[in-house]
Amino acid sequence: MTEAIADPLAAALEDLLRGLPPGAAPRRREALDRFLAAPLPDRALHLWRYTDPRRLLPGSLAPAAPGASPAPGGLPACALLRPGLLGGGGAGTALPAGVEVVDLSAAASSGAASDLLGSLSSGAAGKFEALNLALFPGGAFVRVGRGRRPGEPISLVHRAGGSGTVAFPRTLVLVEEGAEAEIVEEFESDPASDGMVHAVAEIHLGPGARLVHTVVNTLGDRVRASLVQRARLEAAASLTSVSVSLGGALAKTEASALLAGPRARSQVLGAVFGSGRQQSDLHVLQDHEAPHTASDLLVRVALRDRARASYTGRLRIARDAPHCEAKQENRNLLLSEEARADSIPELEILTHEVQCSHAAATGPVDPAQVFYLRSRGFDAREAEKAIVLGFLEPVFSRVPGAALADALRALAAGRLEG
Amino acid sequence: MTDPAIPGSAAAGAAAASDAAEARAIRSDYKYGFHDESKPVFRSRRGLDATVVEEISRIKGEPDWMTEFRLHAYEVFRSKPMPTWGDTAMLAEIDFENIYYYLKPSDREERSWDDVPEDIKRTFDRLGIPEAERKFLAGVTAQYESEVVYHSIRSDLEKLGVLFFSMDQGLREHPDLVRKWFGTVIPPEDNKFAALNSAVWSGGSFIYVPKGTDVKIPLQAYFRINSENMGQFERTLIIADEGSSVHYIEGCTAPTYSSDSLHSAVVELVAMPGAKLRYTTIQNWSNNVFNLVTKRAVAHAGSTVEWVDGNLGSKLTMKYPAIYLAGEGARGEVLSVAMAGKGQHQDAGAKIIHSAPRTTSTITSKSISKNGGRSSYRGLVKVHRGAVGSRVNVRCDALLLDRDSRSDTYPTMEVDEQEVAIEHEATVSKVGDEMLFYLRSRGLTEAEATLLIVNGFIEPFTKELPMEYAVELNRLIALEMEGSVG
Repeated sequence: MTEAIADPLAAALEDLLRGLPPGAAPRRREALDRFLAAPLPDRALHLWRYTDPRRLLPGSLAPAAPGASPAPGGLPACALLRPGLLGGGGAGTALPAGVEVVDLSAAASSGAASDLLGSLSSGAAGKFEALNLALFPGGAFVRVGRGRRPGEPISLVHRAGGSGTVAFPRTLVLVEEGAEAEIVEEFESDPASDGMVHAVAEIHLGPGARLVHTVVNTLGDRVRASLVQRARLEAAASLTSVSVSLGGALAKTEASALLAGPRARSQVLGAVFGSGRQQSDLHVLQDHEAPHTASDLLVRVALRDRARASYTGRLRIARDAPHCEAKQENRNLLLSEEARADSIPELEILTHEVQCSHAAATGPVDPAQVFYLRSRGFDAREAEKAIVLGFLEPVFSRVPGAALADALRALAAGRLEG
Repeated sequence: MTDPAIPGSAAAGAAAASDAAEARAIRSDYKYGFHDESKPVFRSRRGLDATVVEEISRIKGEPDWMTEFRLHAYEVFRSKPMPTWGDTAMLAEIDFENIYYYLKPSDREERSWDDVPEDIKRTFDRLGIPEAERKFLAGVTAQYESEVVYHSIRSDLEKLGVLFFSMDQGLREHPDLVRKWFGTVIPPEDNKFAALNSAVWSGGSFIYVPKGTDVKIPLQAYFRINSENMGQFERTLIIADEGSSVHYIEGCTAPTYSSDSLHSAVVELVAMPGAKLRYTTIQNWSNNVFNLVTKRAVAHAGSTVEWVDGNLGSKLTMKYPAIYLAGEGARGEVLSVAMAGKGQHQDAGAKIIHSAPRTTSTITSKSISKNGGRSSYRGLVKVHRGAVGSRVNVRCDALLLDRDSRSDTYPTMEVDEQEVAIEHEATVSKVGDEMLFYLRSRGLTEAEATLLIVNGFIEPFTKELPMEYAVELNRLIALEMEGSVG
């Protein structure tokens, strides 16, 4: 199978390289070789237990044509599309001082972007990440300078290719020491598209840096997507990863946080709603490498029709990382007889001065709630919507910033009406 | 998941052919680490091929269908790869070619203790078996190497129609009953080690409890590996017919040799409608035994199956007692305790499959890791569509006694049915400083206080054991804990 797709991908890479600085070629060719040489992920691993990796091979899909070359000022295509979820970003928006948002493939030829590109997602971690590293056409490099606090969210909108194409969005984020930022990445497509998305975000937080990173998936119901985020946190850095997954025939989301410095904190807030035959597969790794680090996770999943979702999480506390706290909680709400939810919340604890716990629960809608709502004049659909939004609310209510939380609530409500 | 943190182990640790001196090298820290010179009547050569499998079957005088079953299973064993999950580094140390697959220590099974050969009796004496029997046990089947050499059953059980035999004797005396059930719960295709057991099995227990019969006292068996590089492949089949109840207990020890042994059992339980079946096992294999067993029960309508599972010994244990809740209202419970010390990996857990409406299950797992040991809980809860009104409760608690030890929790929950309630909780913690402080302020040493806390931690398990087993378990844990604090 890998053999069959080798040629079009290699040809696409050579096409792409013609528009890039010459220095880009070796890294990208090497990444493509790694993609081609790597075996498909082993389905005995929990990470791939619920998704056949062959569904994420591009097959006959063609890499989406690179967008227009970077606009004046080097703004990447994804920052130009339209104002994002919160109305920020978009063409012509002036960036606050100390914040850079530039085309990644151009920036990657030198400096910090060159050093950091692929350092968290070198491809050794995953076959598909290597494919993205080889073929991402533009990408965004977001850099928030030391001590800067832009106040405004930075919005990136990744529009997946149309039917018959595979898109490779890539984002590299560097929040320097003491800086604070908020980034919203949206993945969207033509509702009728049958394309594919292989997205990678690498996030570096310097000492004491803070970031709220939100990923919103509103892809069309026929799109297959792999959305990977890998973050590295230095001492006392803080990351809140918000993931709202509503779209896609298959959405495989992988979020990992490496707590590399003492007192780093990582929080994951996930809300998933699936209907029809949608499949969501969410994997979260919280990797405590340093002492006094903390992680917290809340993932809530509501499924209707024949939708299925899996959550696989791993808390790992290294031998040299005492005094850590780690929690994960996953709750699944099944709205129909044919929905299916799987949950594997794992713990790997290699030292003893720790506090760790996880909890998971799956169940149906409480008939008393439905009865109550119906008796107040809600029809079945309205009652379901109220119950699902109520079920997801503990996630939204923990999202930092009222504007972001409200925007996510509205998005979920819109989806439930659709 | 892969386990990047497993310490790299040497490549397949091919314990070279044992010279006699090395064979007698016995570690002193293992309570049952003595061994007696035994003189087997028959010993297969090292390693395995179809000829060895046929020979085992021929020596046992088995019916053709069993020979065929073994040969088929051997082919399945050959064709299946080693597991790619779990502690693959430790698994890679198993050298299948360096194992004796069958030893027969004496010509016939003995019914009276006096007839048991002296050297074997000496071993049992040191294990306290006759003493245990004097203490009014229902029946004792002690497995020494591969054949049951000693077996007794109280006459009142016989009068009730309860069959309690070694598996080999069961096959000889009740071939139709054995053929009806053998391999139906765990077919050879299930996994590589179940296939190996199916090819070379020897000994184990066969129990049939007739309809409506309540066996009031536990049936017991004691297993022991004596020879170095000896594989032990016992096969146990227990059928509790409609409305009956029975409690079976086994304990396992092995003497310590300088190279590794393999224990790979298959245990099949069938609880017919309304039956109640409890299986209690505490393994205390020496720390060079690979303990890779497949244990599974089918619970029919309204029946209850309980696995009470203690893991103290062995180098690597991979054991996930399973219950298929196949009939409406069936109930399953797995209660397990694992203690991993230096060089040990207790990879234990439970699997419960809900395939019928209103089935309920509870999993309670307690693990303790110390002196660099590793305990893993690995579990599966699966609810099939149609199993409406099912309830699942899983609780895993892990205690880490020092900074070098490790605890993993790998729980899998797959839910295809809407009308269910699934709950899972897990915690990992160390011995609480406040508890230690309190106990020490009452005059206990740190070691005493820790032991008390550990005993309290596993108390939900201990209280389910018959008294003599609870006493023995507490004694074993006290021994294991020696020197682990302070």
